[in-house]
Amino acid sequence: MPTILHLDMNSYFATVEQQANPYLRGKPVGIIKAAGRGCVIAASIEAKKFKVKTGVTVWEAKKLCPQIIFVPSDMDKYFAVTRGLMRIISDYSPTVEIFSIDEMFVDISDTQNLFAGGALAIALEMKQRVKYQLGEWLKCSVGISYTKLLAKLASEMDKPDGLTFLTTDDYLEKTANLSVDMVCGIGYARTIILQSMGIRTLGEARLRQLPRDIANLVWLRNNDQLITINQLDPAKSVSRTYTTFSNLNSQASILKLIRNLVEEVSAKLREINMVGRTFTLSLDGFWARLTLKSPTADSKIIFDVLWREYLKNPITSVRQAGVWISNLMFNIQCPIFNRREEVLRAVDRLNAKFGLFTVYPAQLLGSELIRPEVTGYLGDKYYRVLTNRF
Amino acid sequence: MSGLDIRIIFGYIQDMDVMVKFTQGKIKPEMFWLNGREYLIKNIALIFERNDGGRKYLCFAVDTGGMMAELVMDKQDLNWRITKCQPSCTWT
Repeated sequence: MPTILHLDMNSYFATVEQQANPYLRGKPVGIIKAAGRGCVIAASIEAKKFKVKTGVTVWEAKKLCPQIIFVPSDMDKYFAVTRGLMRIISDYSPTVEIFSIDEMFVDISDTQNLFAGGALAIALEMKQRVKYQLGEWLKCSVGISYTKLLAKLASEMDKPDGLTFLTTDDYLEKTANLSVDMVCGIGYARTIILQSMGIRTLGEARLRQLPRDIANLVWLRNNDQLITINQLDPAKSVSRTYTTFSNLNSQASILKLIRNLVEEVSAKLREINMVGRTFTLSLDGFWARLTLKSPTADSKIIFDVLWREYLKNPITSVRQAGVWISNLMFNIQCPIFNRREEVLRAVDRLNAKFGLFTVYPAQLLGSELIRPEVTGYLGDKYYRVLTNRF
Repeated sequence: MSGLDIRIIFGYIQDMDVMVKFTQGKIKPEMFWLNGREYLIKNIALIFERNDGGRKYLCFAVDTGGMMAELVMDKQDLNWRITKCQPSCTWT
Protein backbone atom coordinates (compact mmCIF):
# COMPACT_ATOMS: atom_id res chain seq x y z
CA MET A 1 0.00 0.00 0.00
CA PRO A 2 1.43 3.41 -0.93
CA THR A 3 2.26 6.07 1.64
CA ILE A 4 1.49 9.59 0.50
CA LEU A 5 2.54 12.67 2.41
CA HIS A 6 0.87 16.01 1.79
CA LEU A 7 2.57 19.18 2.93
CA ASP A 8 0.61 22.40 3.05
CA MET A 9 2.11 25.72 4.08
CA ASN A 10 -0.22 27.63 6.39
CA SER A 11 -1.50 31.02 5.18
CA TYR A 12 1.44 31.01 2.83
CA PHE A 13 1.69 34.49 1.32
CA ALA A 14 0.87 36.22 4.60
CA THR A 15 3.25 34.04 6.60
CA VAL A 16 6.12 34.70 4.17
CA GLU A 17 5.50 38.43 4.56
CA GLN A 18 5.48 37.99 8.34
CA GLN A 19 8.73 36.07 8.06
CA ALA A 20 10.32 38.85 5.99
CA ASN A 21 9.03 41.57 8.30
CA PRO A 22 9.13 40.46 11.95
CA TYR A 23 7.02 43.47 12.97
CA LEU A 24 4.04 41.96 11.18
CA ARG A 25 4.21 38.75 13.19
CA GLY A 26 1.27 38.04 15.42
CA LYS A 27 -0.76 40.77 13.72
CA PRO A 28 -3.65 40.35 11.28
CA VAL A 29 -2.23 40.73 7.78
CA GLY A 30 -4.09 40.75 4.48
CA ILE A 31 -2.19 40.32 1.24
CA ILE A 32 -3.55 42.39 -1.62
CA LYS A 33 -2.46 42.14 -5.23
CA ALA A 34 -1.10 45.68 -5.37
CA ALA A 35 -1.60 48.95 -3.56
CA GLY A 36 -5.02 50.29 -4.48
CA ARG A 37 -6.48 46.87 -5.31
CA GLY A 38 -9.75 45.94 -3.75
CA CYS A 39 -9.46 42.28 -2.89
CA VAL A 40 -7.61 40.25 -0.26
CA ILE A 41 -5.79 37.35 -1.93
CA ALA A 42 -4.47 35.80 1.28
CA ALA A 43 -5.00 36.34 4.99
CA SER A 44 -2.74 35.56 7.91
CA ILE A 45 -3.70 33.10 10.62
CA GLU A 46 -4.47 36.04 12.92
CA ALA A 47 -6.69 37.69 10.29
CA LYS A 48 -8.55 34.43 9.70
CA LYS A 49 -9.65 34.52 13.33
CA PHE A 50 -11.62 37.65 12.40
CA LYS A 51 -13.19 35.73 9.49
CA VAL A 52 -11.10 37.55 6.89
CA LYS A 53 -10.80 35.08 4.02
CA THR A 54 -9.34 35.00 0.55
CA GLY A 55 -11.58 36.94 -1.79
CA VAL A 56 -13.11 39.42 0.63
CA THR A 57 -12.87 43.05 -0.39
CA VAL A 58 -10.54 45.42 1.40
CA TRP A 59 -13.58 47.28 2.64
CA GLU A 60 -15.13 44.12 4.11
CA ALA A 61 -11.81 43.09 5.64
CA LYS A 62 -11.49 46.49 7.33
CA LYS A 63 -14.99 46.10 8.69
CA LEU A 64 -14.30 42.61 10.04
CA CYS A 65 -10.90 43.51 11.42
CA PRO A 66 -10.22 47.27 11.72
CA GLN A 67 -6.59 46.72 12.74
CA ILE A 68 -5.74 44.60 9.68
CA ILE A 69 -2.52 45.49 7.86
CA PHE A 70 -2.59 45.26 4.07
CA VAL A 71 0.62 44.25 2.31
CA PRO A 72 1.03 44.17 -1.48
CA SER A 73 1.94 40.72 -2.80
CA ASP A 74 5.48 39.92 -3.86
CA MET A 75 5.40 36.76 -5.99
CA ASP A 76 9.19 36.63 -6.42
CA LYS A 77 9.50 36.25 -2.68
CA TYR A 78 6.89 33.48 -2.53
CA PHE A 79 8.43 31.58 -5.42
CA ALA A 80 11.86 31.83 -3.81
CA VAL A 81 10.49 30.25 -0.62
CA THR A 82 8.70 27.58 -2.72
CA ARG A 83 12.02 26.77 -4.40
CA GLY A 84 13.54 26.28 -0.95
CA LEU A 85 10.60 24.08 0.00
CA MET A 86 11.05 21.98 -3.14
CA ARG A 87 14.72 21.49 -2.29
CA ILE A 88 13.78 20.21 1.16
CA ILE A 89 11.00 17.93 -0.09
CA SER A 90 13.08 16.41 -2.87
CA ASP A 91 15.53 15.11 -0.25
CA TYR A 92 12.90 12.62 0.89
CA SER A 93 11.57 11.18 -2.35
CA PRO A 94 12.07 11.52 -6.09
CA THR A 95 8.30 11.31 -6.65
CA VAL A 96 6.89 14.72 -5.87
CA GLU A 97 3.79 16.45 -7.19
CA ILE A 98 3.80 20.22 -6.92
CA PHE A 99 0.10 20.75 -6.41
CA SER A 100 0.27 24.52 -6.07
CA ILE A 101 2.69 27.16 -4.88
CA ASP A 102 2.34 26.05 -1.26
CA GLU A 103 1.18 22.43 -1.48
CA MET A 104 3.09 19.31 -2.40
CA PHE A 105 2.40 15.59 -2.46
CA VAL A 106 5.30 13.25 -1.81
CA ASP A 107 5.23 9.50 -2.40
CA ILE A 108 7.31 8.08 0.44
CA SER A 109 6.19 4.46 0.00
CA ASP A 110 9.73 3.23 -0.64
CA THR A 111 11.91 5.95 0.82
CA GLN A 112 10.32 5.78 4.27
CA ASN A 113 12.27 2.58 4.81
CA LEU A 114 15.48 4.59 4.61
CA PHE A 115 14.58 6.62 7.67
CA ALA A 116 14.51 5.23 11.16
CA GLY A 117 11.03 6.06 12.33
CA GLY A 118 9.51 5.84 8.86
CA ALA A 119 6.89 8.29 7.65
CA LEU A 120 6.50 9.99 11.02
CA ALA A 121 10.24 10.70 11.23
CA ILE A 122 10.19 12.11 7.68
CA ALA A 123 7.25 14.38 8.47
CA LEU A 124 8.80 15.68 11.68
CA GLU A 125 12.15 16.27 10.02
CA MET A 126 10.47 18.09 7.12
CA LYS A 127 8.60 20.37 9.51
CA GLN A 128 11.78 21.07 11.43
CA ARG A 129 13.76 21.83 8.28
CA VAL A 130 11.05 24.17 6.98
CA LYS A 131 11.37 26.17 10.21
CA TYR A 132 15.13 26.03 10.38
CA GLN A 133 16.02 26.56 6.72
CA LEU A 134 13.18 28.70 5.40
CA GLY A 135 12.21 30.72 8.45
CA GLU A 136 11.09 30.26 12.01
CA TRP A 137 7.69 31.84 11.35
CA LEU A 138 6.85 29.54 8.45
CA LYS A 139 4.61 26.73 9.51
CA CYS A 140 3.29 23.77 7.58
CA SER A 141 0.66 21.12 8.13
CA VAL A 142 1.46 17.59 7.12
CA GLY A 143 -0.99 14.81 6.39
CA ILE A 144 0.00 11.20 5.83
CA SER A 145 -2.20 8.49 4.41
CA TYR A 146 -2.40 6.00 1.58
CA THR A 147 -4.14 8.13 -1.06
CA LYS A 148 -3.72 11.69 -2.19
CA LEU A 149 -7.27 12.59 -1.22
CA LEU A 150 -6.83 11.27 2.32
CA ALA A 151 -3.37 12.81 2.74
CA LYS A 152 -4.73 16.22 1.71
CA LEU A 153 -7.69 15.89 4.02
CA ALA A 154 -5.38 14.83 6.85
CA SER A 155 -3.27 17.97 6.42
CA GLU A 156 -6.45 20.09 6.51
CA MET A 157 -7.58 18.48 9.75
CA ASP A 158 -4.98 20.04 12.00
CA LYS A 159 -4.04 23.60 11.12
CA PRO A 160 -1.75 25.38 11.66
CA ASP A 161 1.44 23.41 12.16
CA GLY A 162 -0.26 20.02 12.49
CA LEU A 163 0.67 16.46 11.70
CA THR A 164 -2.10 13.93 11.07
CA PHE A 165 -2.10 10.25 10.15
CA LEU A 166 -5.08 8.60 8.54
CA THR A 167 -4.85 4.84 8.33
CA THR A 168 -7.10 2.32 6.59
CA ASP A 169 -8.62 1.36 9.95
CA ASP A 170 -9.48 4.77 11.33
CA TYR A 171 -9.97 7.16 8.42
CA LEU A 172 -13.78 6.82 8.27
CA GLU A 173 -14.15 7.34 11.99
CA LYS A 174 -11.71 10.25 12.20
CA THR A 175 -13.30 12.10 9.28
CA ALA A 176 -16.97 11.55 10.22
CA ASN A 177 -17.36 14.94 11.89
CA LEU A 178 -15.54 16.96 9.24
CA SER A 179 -17.42 19.48 7.15
CA VAL A 180 -18.11 18.19 3.62
CA ASP A 181 -16.37 21.15 1.96
CA MET A 182 -13.04 20.12 3.48
CA VAL A 183 -12.75 17.30 0.95
CA CYS A 184 -10.79 18.25 -2.16
CA GLY A 185 -13.31 17.92 -4.98
CA ILE A 186 -16.35 19.05 -3.02
CA GLY A 187 -16.40 22.67 -4.01
CA TYR A 188 -18.95 25.42 -3.79
CA ALA A 189 -21.57 23.86 -6.09
CA ARG A 190 -21.45 20.40 -4.51
CA THR A 191 -21.50 21.87 -1.01
CA ILE A 192 -24.68 23.77 -1.90
CA ILE A 193 -26.26 20.53 -3.19
CA LEU A 194 -25.34 18.68 -0.01
CA GLN A 195 -26.44 21.50 2.27
CA SER A 196 -29.79 21.67 0.50
CA MET A 197 -30.21 18.00 1.49
CA GLY A 198 -29.47 18.95 5.10
CA ILE A 199 -26.00 17.41 5.02
CA ARG A 200 -23.19 19.23 6.78
CA THR A 201 -20.65 16.57 7.75
CA LEU A 202 -19.11 13.58 6.02
CA GLY A 203 -20.72 11.29 8.60
CA GLU A 204 -24.18 12.62 7.68
CA ALA A 205 -23.42 12.32 3.98
CA ARG A 206 -22.41 8.68 4.34
CA LEU A 207 -25.87 7.83 5.64
CA ARG A 208 -27.52 9.10 2.47
CA GLN A 209 -27.86 7.91 -1.11
CA LEU A 210 -25.81 10.30 -3.25
CA PRO A 211 -24.73 10.57 -6.90
CA ARG A 212 -21.77 8.30 -7.57
CA ASP A 213 -19.13 11.01 -8.04
CA ILE A 214 -20.10 12.75 -4.81
CA ALA A 215 -20.44 9.42 -2.95
CA ASN A 216 -16.89 8.48 -3.95
CA LEU A 217 -15.63 11.72 -2.45
CA VAL A 218 -17.76 11.40 0.67
CA TRP A 219 -16.50 7.85 1.26
CA LEU A 220 -13.00 9.08 0.35
CA ARG A 221 -12.64 6.38 -2.29
CA ASN A 222 -10.88 8.55 -4.86
CA ASN A 223 -7.41 7.18 -5.52
CA ASP A 224 -5.66 9.45 -8.03
CA GLN A 225 -2.00 8.84 -8.69
CA LEU A 226 0.66 11.45 -8.16
CA ILE A 227 1.28 13.54 -11.25
CA THR A 228 4.94 14.38 -11.47
CA ILE A 229 6.24 17.08 -13.76
CA ASN A 230 7.08 14.62 -16.52
CA GLN A 231 3.53 13.28 -16.56
CA LEU A 232 1.77 16.61 -16.98
CA ASP A 233 -0.09 17.29 -20.20
CA PRO A 234 0.89 20.22 -22.40
CA ALA A 235 -1.19 23.39 -22.08
CA LYS A 236 -4.66 23.46 -23.64
CA SER A 237 -5.05 27.22 -23.53
CA VAL A 238 -3.16 30.32 -22.49
CA SER A 239 -4.88 33.39 -21.14
CA ARG A 240 -4.50 36.63 -19.29
CA THR A 241 -7.14 38.77 -17.67
CA TYR A 242 -6.71 42.17 -16.12
CA THR A 243 -8.80 44.61 -14.13
CA THR A 244 -7.83 48.26 -14.46
CA PHE A 245 -7.77 50.69 -11.58
CA SER A 246 -10.37 52.91 -13.24
CA ASN A 247 -12.68 52.78 -16.24
CA LEU A 248 -11.06 53.10 -19.65
CA ASN A 249 -13.16 55.52 -21.63
CA SER A 250 -11.19 55.95 -24.82
CA GLN A 251 -10.56 53.49 -27.64
CA ALA A 252 -6.86 54.38 -27.54
CA SER A 253 -6.49 53.23 -23.95
CA ILE A 254 -8.50 50.05 -24.64
CA LEU A 255 -6.28 49.36 -27.66
CA LYS A 256 -3.19 49.62 -25.49
CA LEU A 257 -4.64 47.35 -22.85
CA ILE A 258 -5.60 44.65 -25.36
CA ARG A 259 -2.25 44.93 -27.12
CA ASN A 260 -0.44 44.58 -23.81
CA LEU A 261 -2.40 41.46 -22.88
CA VAL A 262 -1.93 39.96 -26.35
CA GLU A 263 1.82 40.58 -26.12
CA GLU A 264 2.01 38.74 -22.82
CA VAL A 265 -0.10 35.79 -23.92
CA SER A 266 1.69 35.34 -27.25
CA ALA A 267 5.12 35.63 -25.59
CA LYS A 268 4.07 32.87 -23.21
CA LEU A 269 2.90 30.79 -26.15
CA ARG A 270 6.25 31.21 -27.91
CA GLU A 271 8.07 30.37 -24.71
CA ILE A 272 6.33 27.02 -24.49
CA ASN A 273 6.88 26.54 -28.24
CA MET A 274 3.20 26.39 -29.10
CA VAL A 275 0.85 28.12 -31.49
CA GLY A 276 -2.90 28.64 -31.31
CA ARG A 277 -5.83 28.94 -33.67
CA THR A 278 -8.71 30.21 -31.56
CA PHE A 279 -8.55 33.68 -30.08
CA THR A 280 -11.00 35.12 -27.59
CA LEU A 281 -11.37 38.66 -26.32
CA SER A 282 -13.52 39.62 -23.41
CA LEU A 283 -14.21 43.15 -22.24
CA ASP A 284 -16.78 44.12 -19.63
CA GLY A 285 -19.90 43.68 -21.74
CA PHE A 286 -18.23 42.41 -24.88
CA TRP A 287 -17.12 38.98 -25.98
CA ALA A 288 -15.66 37.78 -29.28
CA ARG A 289 -14.12 34.53 -30.46
CA LEU A 290 -12.50 33.75 -33.77
CA THR A 291 -10.75 30.70 -35.17
CA LEU A 292 -8.14 31.06 -37.90
CA LYS A 293 -7.18 28.41 -40.45
CA SER A 294 -3.50 28.48 -39.67
CA PRO A 295 -2.17 28.60 -36.13
CA THR A 296 0.06 31.42 -34.96
CA ALA A 297 1.86 32.87 -31.96
CA ASP A 298 2.46 36.23 -33.61
CA SER A 299 1.14 38.97 -31.36
CA LYS A 300 0.50 41.32 -34.27
CA ILE A 301 -1.74 38.85 -36.12
CA ILE A 302 -3.61 37.96 -32.92
CA PHE A 303 -4.07 41.59 -31.99
CA ASP A 304 -5.27 42.55 -35.50
CA VAL A 305 -7.85 39.76 -35.43
CA LEU A 306 -9.17 40.71 -32.00
CA TRP A 307 -9.09 44.44 -32.67
CA ARG A 308 -11.15 43.99 -35.85
CA GLU A 309 -13.69 42.07 -33.80
CA TYR A 310 -13.71 44.82 -31.19
CA LEU A 311 -14.29 47.54 -33.79
CA LYS A 312 -17.52 45.82 -34.83
CA ASN A 313 -18.88 46.79 -31.43
CA PRO A 314 -16.51 49.38 -29.97
CA ILE A 315 -17.67 49.64 -26.39
CA THR A 316 -15.98 51.99 -23.93
CA SER A 317 -16.03 52.35 -20.18
CA VAL A 318 -14.11 49.14 -19.71
CA ARG A 319 -12.56 47.87 -16.48
CA GLN A 320 -12.01 44.18 -17.12
CA ALA A 321 -10.27 42.67 -20.11
CA GLY A 322 -9.18 39.16 -20.97
CA VAL A 323 -7.44 37.45 -23.86
CA TRP A 324 -7.54 33.66 -24.39
CA ILE A 325 -5.73 31.55 -26.95
CA SER A 326 -6.88 27.99 -27.36
CA ASN A 327 -6.77 25.17 -29.92
CA LEU A 328 -3.07 24.91 -29.15
CA MET A 329 -0.53 22.73 -30.90
CA PHE A 330 3.22 22.44 -30.83
CA ASN A 331 5.02 24.73 -33.24
CA ILE A 332 6.97 22.24 -35.32
CA GLN A 333 6.83 23.91 -38.74
CA CYS A 334 9.77 26.15 -39.52
CA PRO A 335 8.92 29.15 -41.68
CA ILE A 336 11.13 29.49 -44.74
CA PHE A 337 9.95 32.74 -46.28
CA ASN A 338 8.47 34.50 -43.30
CA ARG A 339 11.27 35.99 -41.21
CA ARG A 340 8.93 37.58 -38.70
CA GLU A 341 9.05 34.60 -36.42
CA GLU A 342 12.81 35.05 -36.16
CA VAL A 343 12.29 38.68 -35.22
CA LEU A 344 9.84 37.67 -32.50
CA ARG A 345 12.24 35.05 -31.15
CA ALA A 346 15.00 37.68 -31.09
CA VAL A 347 12.73 40.05 -29.15
CA ASP A 348 11.90 37.27 -26.70
CA ARG A 349 15.58 36.52 -26.20
CA LEU A 350 16.36 40.21 -25.63
CA ASN A 351 13.59 40.50 -23.05
CA ALA A 352 14.74 37.31 -21.38
CA LYS A 353 18.30 38.56 -21.15
CA PHE A 354 17.84 42.22 -20.29
CA GLY A 355 14.51 42.16 -18.51
CA LEU A 356 10.85 42.55 -19.30
CA PHE A 357 9.78 45.25 -21.76
CA THR A 358 13.31 45.93 -22.96
CA VAL A 359 11.78 45.71 -26.43
CA TYR A 360 8.04 46.11 -26.93
CA PRO A 361 5.62 47.36 -29.59
CA ALA A 362 5.62 51.10 -30.24
CA GLN A 363 1.84 50.98 -29.85
CA LEU A 364 2.41 50.62 -26.12
CA LEU A 365 4.67 53.65 -25.82
CA GLY A 366 3.49 56.10 -23.21
CA SER A 367 1.15 53.68 -21.51
CA GLU A 368 1.57 51.97 -18.20
CA LEU A 369 2.89 48.50 -18.94
CA ILE A 370 1.21 45.53 -17.31
CA ARG A 371 3.66 42.96 -16.04
CA PRO A 372 3.02 39.26 -16.55
CA GLU A 373 1.15 37.69 -13.71
CA VAL A 374 1.67 34.47 -11.85
CA THR A 375 -0.97 32.97 -9.64
CA GLY A 376 -0.55 30.58 -6.77
CA TYR A 377 -2.33 27.78 -8.62
CA LEU A 378 0.58 27.39 -11.00
CA GLY A 379 -1.37 26.36 -14.07
CA ASP A 380 1.90 26.62 -15.99
CA LYS A 381 4.05 24.73 -13.50
CA TYR A 382 5.11 22.22 -16.15
CA TYR A 383 6.85 24.94 -18.15
CA ARG A 384 8.00 26.88 -15.13
CA VAL A 385 9.90 23.90 -13.77
CA LEU A 386 11.19 22.72 -17.12
CA THR A 387 12.45 26.15 -18.13
CA ASN A 388 13.88 26.84 -14.68
CA ARG A 389 11.63 29.86 -14.22
CA PHE A 390 10.32 28.48 -10.99
CA MET B 1 34.33 46.57 3.81
CA SER B 2 33.71 47.73 0.27
CA GLY B 3 32.40 51.01 -1.10
CA LEU B 4 29.39 50.12 -3.20
CA ASP B 5 26.93 52.23 -5.10
CA ILE B 6 23.50 51.98 -3.58
CA ARG B 7 20.38 53.34 -5.19
CA ILE B 8 17.53 54.23 -2.93
CA ILE B 9 14.00 53.78 -4.09
CA PHE B 10 13.01 57.24 -2.81
CA GLY B 11 14.37 58.70 -6.02
CA TYR B 12 17.92 59.77 -5.25
CA ILE B 13 21.17 57.97 -5.53
CA GLN B 14 23.68 57.73 -2.75
CA ASP B 15 27.01 56.16 -2.15
CA MET B 16 26.86 53.63 0.56
CA ASP B 17 29.10 51.15 2.23
CA VAL B 18 28.03 47.66 3.06
CA MET B 19 30.03 45.39 5.30
CA VAL B 20 29.52 41.74 4.53
CA LYS B 21 30.72 38.53 6.04
CA PHE B 22 31.52 35.46 4.03
CA THR B 23 30.83 32.38 6.05
CA GLN B 24 30.43 28.75 5.05
CA GLY B 25 30.19 29.70 1.39
CA LYS B 26 27.45 32.22 2.08
CA ILE B 27 27.38 35.99 2.05
CA LYS B 28 25.79 37.84 4.93
CA PRO B 29 25.49 41.63 5.24
CA GLU B 30 26.47 42.77 8.71
CA MET B 31 26.30 46.54 8.61
CA PHE B 32 25.64 49.37 6.17
CA TRP B 33 26.03 53.12 6.06
CA LEU B 34 23.29 55.30 4.61
CA ASN B 35 22.80 59.08 4.72
CA GLY B 36 25.85 59.36 6.96
CA ARG B 37 24.34 56.95 9.44
CA GLU B 38 25.53 53.57 10.47
CA TYR B 39 23.03 50.73 10.54
CA LEU B 40 23.86 47.50 12.29
CA ILE B 41 21.88 44.59 10.92
CA LYS B 42 20.30 42.91 13.89
CA ASN B 43 18.45 40.21 12.04
CA ILE B 44 18.17 38.85 8.53
CA ALA B 45 14.59 37.65 8.42
CA LEU B 46 14.55 36.18 4.93
CA ILE B 47 17.00 35.57 2.12
CA PHE B 48 15.64 35.02 -1.36
CA GLU B 49 16.45 35.54 -5.00
CA ARG B 50 14.79 37.70 -7.61
CA ASN B 51 15.27 37.41 -11.36
CA ASP B 52 14.92 40.17 -13.88
CA GLY B 53 15.82 39.01 -17.34
CA GLY B 54 19.14 37.22 -17.16
CA ARG B 55 20.15 39.07 -14.01
CA LYS B 56 19.83 37.53 -10.61
CA TYR B 57 19.55 39.47 -7.40
CA LEU B 58 20.12 38.14 -3.94
CA CYS B 59 17.74 39.86 -1.53
CA PHE B 60 18.05 40.15 2.23
CA ALA B 61 15.08 41.29 4.30
CA VAL B 62 16.98 42.98 7.11
CA ASP B 63 15.98 44.48 10.43
CA THR B 64 18.19 47.16 11.93
CA GLY B 65 16.06 47.67 14.99
CA GLY B 66 14.74 51.01 13.76
CA MET B 67 14.24 50.22 10.11
CA MET B 68 13.18 47.28 7.95
CA ALA B 69 14.66 47.19 4.48
CA GLU B 70 15.46 44.91 1.61
CA LEU B 71 19.14 44.88 0.69
CA VAL B 72 19.55 43.70 -2.88
CA MET B 73 22.82 42.44 -4.31
CA ASP B 74 23.21 42.15 -8.07
CA LYS B 75 24.98 38.82 -8.50
CA GLN B 76 26.54 39.94 -11.76
CA ASP B 77 28.31 43.13 -10.75
CA LEU B 78 28.01 42.88 -6.95
CA ASN B 79 26.26 46.24 -6.76
CA TRP B 80 24.04 46.70 -3.75
CA ARG B 81 20.72 48.53 -3.62
CA ILE B 82 18.35 49.17 -0.81
CA THR B 83 14.62 49.04 -1.37
CA LYS B 84 11.41 48.86 0.61
CA CYS B 85 12.76 50.88 3.52
CA GLN B 86 10.22 51.35 6.25
CA PRO B 87 10.28 52.16 9.91
CA SER B 88 10.21 49.23 12.28
CA CYS B 89 6.60 49.73 13.10
CA THR B 90 3.70 48.50 11.10
CA TRP B 91 1.49 50.76 9.10
CA THR B 92 -2.20 50.52 8.50
